[in-house]
Amino acid sequence: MRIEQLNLIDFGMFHQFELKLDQSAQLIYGANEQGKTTLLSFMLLMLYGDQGRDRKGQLTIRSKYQPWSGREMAGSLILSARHQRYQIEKHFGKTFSKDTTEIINLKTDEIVPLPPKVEVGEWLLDLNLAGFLKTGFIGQPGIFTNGQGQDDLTEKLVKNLTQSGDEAVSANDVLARLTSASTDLRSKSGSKGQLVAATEHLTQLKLEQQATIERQTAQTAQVEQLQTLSQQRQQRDQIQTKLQQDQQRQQTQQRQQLLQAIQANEQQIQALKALNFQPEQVTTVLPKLQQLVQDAVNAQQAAAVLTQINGQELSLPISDADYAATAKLQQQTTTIQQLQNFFQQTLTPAADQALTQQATWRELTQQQKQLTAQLATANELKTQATQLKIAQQQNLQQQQRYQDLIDLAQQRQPTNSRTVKQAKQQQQSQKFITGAGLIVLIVGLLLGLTKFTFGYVLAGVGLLLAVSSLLRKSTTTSSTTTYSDLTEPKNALQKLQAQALELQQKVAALAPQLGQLTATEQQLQQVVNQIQAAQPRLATAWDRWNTSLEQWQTQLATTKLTLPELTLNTTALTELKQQLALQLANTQQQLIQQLHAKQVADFTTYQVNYQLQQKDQVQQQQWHDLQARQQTTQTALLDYFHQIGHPEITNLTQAQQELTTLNRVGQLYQTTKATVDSQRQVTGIKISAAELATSLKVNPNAIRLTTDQRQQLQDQLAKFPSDLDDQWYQLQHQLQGVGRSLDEIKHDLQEVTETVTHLQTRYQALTLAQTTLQQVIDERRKYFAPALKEKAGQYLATLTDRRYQELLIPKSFSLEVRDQGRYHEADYLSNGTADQAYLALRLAITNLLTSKPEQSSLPLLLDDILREYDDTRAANALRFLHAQSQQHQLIMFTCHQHLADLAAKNGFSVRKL
Amino acid sequence: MTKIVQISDVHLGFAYAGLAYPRRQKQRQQDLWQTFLDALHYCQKIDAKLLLIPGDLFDTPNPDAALVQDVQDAFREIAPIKVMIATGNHDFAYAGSCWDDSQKWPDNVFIFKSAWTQLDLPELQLTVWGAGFTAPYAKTSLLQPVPSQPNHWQIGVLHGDAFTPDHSPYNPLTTAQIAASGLNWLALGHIHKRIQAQAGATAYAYAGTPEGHGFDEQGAKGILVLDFKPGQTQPTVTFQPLAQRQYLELKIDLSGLDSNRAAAARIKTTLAANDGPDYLRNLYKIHLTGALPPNALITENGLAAQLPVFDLRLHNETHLAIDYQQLAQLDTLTGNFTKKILGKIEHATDETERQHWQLALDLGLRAFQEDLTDAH
Repeated sequence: MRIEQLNLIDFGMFHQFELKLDQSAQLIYGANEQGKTTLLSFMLLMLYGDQGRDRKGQLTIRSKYQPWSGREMAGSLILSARHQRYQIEKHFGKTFSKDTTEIINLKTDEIVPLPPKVEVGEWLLDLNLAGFLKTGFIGQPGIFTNGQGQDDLTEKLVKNLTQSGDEAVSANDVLARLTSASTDLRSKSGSKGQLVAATEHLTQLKLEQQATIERQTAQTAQVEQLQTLSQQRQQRDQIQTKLQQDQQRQQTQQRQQLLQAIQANEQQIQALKALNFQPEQVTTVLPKLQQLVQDAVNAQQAAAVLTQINGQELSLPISDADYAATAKLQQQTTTIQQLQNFFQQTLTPAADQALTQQATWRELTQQQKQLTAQLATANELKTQATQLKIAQQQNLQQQQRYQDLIDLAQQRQPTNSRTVKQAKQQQQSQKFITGAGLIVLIVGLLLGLTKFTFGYVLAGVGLLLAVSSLLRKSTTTSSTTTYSDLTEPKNALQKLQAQALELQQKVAALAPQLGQLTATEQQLQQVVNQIQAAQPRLATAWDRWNTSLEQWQTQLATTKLTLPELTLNTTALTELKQQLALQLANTQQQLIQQLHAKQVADFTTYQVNYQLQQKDQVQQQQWHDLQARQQTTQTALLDYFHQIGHPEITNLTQAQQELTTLNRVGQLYQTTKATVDSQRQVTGIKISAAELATSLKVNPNAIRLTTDQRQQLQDQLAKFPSDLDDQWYQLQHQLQGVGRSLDEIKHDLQEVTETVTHLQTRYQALTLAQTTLQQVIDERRKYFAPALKEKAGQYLATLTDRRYQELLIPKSFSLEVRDQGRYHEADYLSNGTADQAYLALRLAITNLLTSKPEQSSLPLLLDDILREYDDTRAANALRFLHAQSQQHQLIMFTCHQHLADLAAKNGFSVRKL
Repeated sequence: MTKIVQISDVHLGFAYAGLAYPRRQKQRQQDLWQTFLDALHYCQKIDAKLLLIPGDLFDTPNPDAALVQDVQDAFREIAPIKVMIATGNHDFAYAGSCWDDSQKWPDNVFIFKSAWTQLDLPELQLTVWGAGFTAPYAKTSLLQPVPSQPNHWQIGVLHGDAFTPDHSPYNPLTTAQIAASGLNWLALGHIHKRIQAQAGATAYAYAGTPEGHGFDEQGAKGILVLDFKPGQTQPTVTFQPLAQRQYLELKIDLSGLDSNRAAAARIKTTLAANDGPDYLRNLYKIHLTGALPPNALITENGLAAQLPVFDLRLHNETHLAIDYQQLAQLDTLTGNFTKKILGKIEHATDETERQHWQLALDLGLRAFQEDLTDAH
């Protein structure tokens, strides 16, 4: 395609601006703000109206080049393509969809229809906007690099190489579409994709199917269990029915009994009424009537009895004074007899016992005194004997000491003066002790005469002290001399031995007396023991006596008898006994005289006669009272009969007969009524007799059970589980659980399985398509890479006068240039060299993509691409570019005058704006 | 002549949850009920003496009480036609179920809900025998031999599986058992497809469901009308379609069509030609086939919007109308892609793999044309 003419009707700064273009190569020169970029943009917008939307801080061509005149943006192109000449006319709306495009075939003057949604550029060049920008449009140098060592544009270009250019969409987009489609099957907009959702649905359905099968299996068992439970329930219900019928039968029987009782009661009510008596009066009037009749009868009977008693005659008239005097004598007689009895039975034995014990006591105490007196002289003998024994012991001790001294002296010669001194001190103390002992001895003897034993003991102690002191003195003296002379001790020893013999003789003399003394002491001890034994007996006798005496005095005090004072001696007792007998005889004599006066034998007869006389008087009074009472009760009874409507009753006999009748009927009434009440209470039946009679007609054929049968049924009933109904209903509930049928689930399973299979097939196909496309892209990249490298190297060599001849595009897409055997990243070369390298690469890509015969040639829009070039490089580049004009129409823009000059020299037609 | 109607596997209460358009679920339930009523009315119309229902009248063993009452009322209205029901595996009888005596079934309804039993109808010179499911499964046969009587028809009503009896837990019925049954006619339920066969002297048939429940129950559905004529041991059987709608599955070639409108027009034409002017009532599963132009813009959603049938499932099995061999000759990305996949197709080990590669080729080339997101 080659553009022949631009016609900017209204576009940016231009209005009705026309520019004819060279079909080969041209440079459009103009200073800044002269409209070069506007023209470039016009051509782009004429070919590709959809430039996207304005973005923040970046306007699209459509927005940026709205006509300054305010008119509608419009323009036209005249171009040749596909061996035809076309005029493209466009009126630009606010958006791409508002544009109107008209293509006129200038050869035929026909309007050529543009396929829907197809851009003019796509239609003419088989390239979309992206494809054209990667091929036909080459921007200003420097735009290739992003300053970070990577080249986005290079990457895009190289990737685009994998396409032939005939695809309306890039391989990346195709891959993206395939990926998006497969991804959507798994996940879409944050939700589950169709395939995942369908697979999950399928899983759920399978689970539901399994659960349903299990539920149905369980239902089979549940149904069997339900059947068993149902049978049990049926049996139970049958038993319950029988029991209920039996109960009904019992109730019927109760009703019948009740009805009979009511009827019996009604008969009695009628009987009562026939007696002119109301049923309610039975409990109130009848008891009162009974009481009145009873009172009247009692009064009558009492009066009759007293009438029989009355009329008996008394034989002895006894006045009250006579009776009192006689009774007093009788009382005195009795009292004296009682005193006599007490005196003889109680007091006299107590006195005898007390006197006996008293005499015994006195005798024993006398013996004690005598023996004690005998023992008073014996104490002296004991003292003497004791003293003699002590003296014998002391003598023996002294003898032993002297013997020891003699033995010691013979063994050693004592010279110690201190010993002598000590002996002297001992002598002095011994003298003192001897004196004191004698004093104690004397005092003891004195005390012994008056205070018995203690005095003798004290005397003994004093004697012991004195003798001991004397013995010590002699020992000390002898000891003090032992050491100087043994003669003296030996003499002393002999003397002591003589004394011992003498003491022994004295002791022998005292022995008979001491034996007598011991016998006396034993007698005394026996007497003392007897006294001690007699003491309680004496005390008991005394207590008995004193008690009897107190009783005697108490009894005596209740009488007016004068008796001698009672003391414990035989004379007093005898006198009292005689006095009692005398007084008794007197009193009895007086009593006998009194009884004789009334001609009775004894007081009892006298007393009976007196009491009979008294009773008769009382009965007389009672008889009068009963007569009055009989009259009163009968009057009250008859009045009451009148009051209750029975005036025909005029006497007690009639009243009794009437009452008997009433009682009989009343009792029957009460009995029947109690029966009715009891049955009503027991059965709880409250309905009337008429209703009862009606209800009894309903159940004529109730089942009758024996007690055993009833019990047997109740036992059977008790064996059924109490929760039988609950179990049944629970199973019912389980059977009626919510759940879809298996067939319905199978329907769904079939549907969803189909869906899942379909989606899985689609997913696998998409995956295969992606994989295959990626493989093809990779293969094409490998295929294009050597060709690209070769062509770009050729162009670079041309542009650099063979300074650089090889280019390399590694996977990082950072362009590398070979220099002196090594590859260097283009960014590390000079800006001019880098631009040359990119220009070579860009043109190589473009030519590779448009090298096919059927491919339309492109108009290359070059936007000041040589501005970084020096003159030599620029000249080389212009020559190289001009050579490209054989394949492509070159439309180059610059604002540099020298480039315009160089371009003109290298075959470019130059147009100035 | 005694006319007897046989209907089975109605599955009243079926939810119809698997519809492509769930909003139509309620309508399908109404359809099912209407078909049931139509069957009853048809009984009256032809003066049928008996209505045989060999199981699965209800879809579940615990149907809604109101539904049961409606059914009872409907049966009551067709009296004196006698209704003979055998309980099936879906609506098996159990203590407390809707089949209990306490459920007030009309007098003209007799329910076989346990072991093999009979109901003599001397006025019709026939005896109806039957048994019912009492659990979801009946692993042993419920069928029992009956004594033969001259000039007397012996008719059986039973829910069971006469086609896979070896392992079926649904009252397996062998041909030998049926042949030895002594029955003149055995009305069977369980299989939703209409089948009629003969075993010995016994003729038997599944009426199939009167209203389809899914695409596995396609075509016309209805009831069987049995004419028992004097002197004949077996009845004359007539199928009477009653279904409100049909489930239908078919393939339609869209070759050469490039738009939804054109495709929809062809589909409508095809459906009308196949199923008549009322085809819109039906439920369709359509497999779209044929070669579409590369620039064709046909989408399932777009097509469905232009096909107002009752329920529709589209399976796009079309491919692009491209000369793959010629395309493979081009040294372009699409050419290389096509060439590579054609090689895979050529060396595919089985049909499934080949189809996968073919679909990958179609989708890949379609991706060069359009976004695939909506292009099912």
